[in-house]
Amino acid sequence: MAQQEAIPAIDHQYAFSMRIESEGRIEFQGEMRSRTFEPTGGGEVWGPRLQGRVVPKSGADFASNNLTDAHMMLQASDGTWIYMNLLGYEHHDDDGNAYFRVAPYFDSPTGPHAWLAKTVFIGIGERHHNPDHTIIHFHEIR
Amino acid sequence: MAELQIPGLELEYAFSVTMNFAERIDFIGPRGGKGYVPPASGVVYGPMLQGRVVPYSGADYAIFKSLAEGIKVNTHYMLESDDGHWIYINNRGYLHRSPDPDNPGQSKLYFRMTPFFEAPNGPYEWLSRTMIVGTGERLTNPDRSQFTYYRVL
Repeated sequence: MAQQEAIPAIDHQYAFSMRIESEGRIEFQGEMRSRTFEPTGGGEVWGPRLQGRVVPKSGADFASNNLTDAHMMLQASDGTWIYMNLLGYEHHDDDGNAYFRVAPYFDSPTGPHAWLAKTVFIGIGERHHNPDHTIIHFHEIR
Repeated sequence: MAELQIPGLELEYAFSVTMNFAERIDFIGPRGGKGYVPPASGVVYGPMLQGRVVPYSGADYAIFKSLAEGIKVNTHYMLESDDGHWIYINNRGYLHRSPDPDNPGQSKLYFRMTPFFEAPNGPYEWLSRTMIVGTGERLTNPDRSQFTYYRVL
């Protein structure tokens, strides 16, 4: 039976970090779900596997019921354009601790950044203020 | 910014799924390749969830350019826990062969995913607000996949 098999481990390593500036926040309660609109001001990408910028005003988080669904463009330092869709959760647990975890899905052109669109990542997010921005540290699932 | 401390990724084994398949449909259309692979049956086991995959409650509706280059997984189906709760699962991820960093010149299967759940209020509602990451294996005779899911702390 499968229950007796060893549990496969998941190998992962730190890939890059991202600062995403927030240009405000609009929230409302819809008929079925809440809706949040948080447009992207811009930002920076740094780390061993990707460097570049978050393109200003290239998208937003369209979160619903604490489920993050952000769409925006990145531009790598070599000029490559990269689309990013962030899916995940942002909420506080019963003890008040923040839980902000996302999975980014990329579209990138054939070339040195193509691997982004074939790789699963987990991001650990942090909220910062004055000015409002988010920092996400992405770990590549190998 | 690089001086910031990088928080480590902490994972905890949550549960496993064995899923059996009886048919695979795929085609190429004007918008590219589309797959339809429904689960014929399946078992969920492990410390955090036990139950079954509801047969033919959905499928992997993957997209691809050519099957040889791999697929982008997008599954929708239902699980039922042993205590009778229905749970929706949407699995996103990738299945392809990629160069094996440990064995130059060879390739290895890359089958990784992040499932998103909707579970009713009650013992499994945590699934609706918890990031999960999974690794999969493809098995044959009979055609099946083995998934191992970890909770992201």
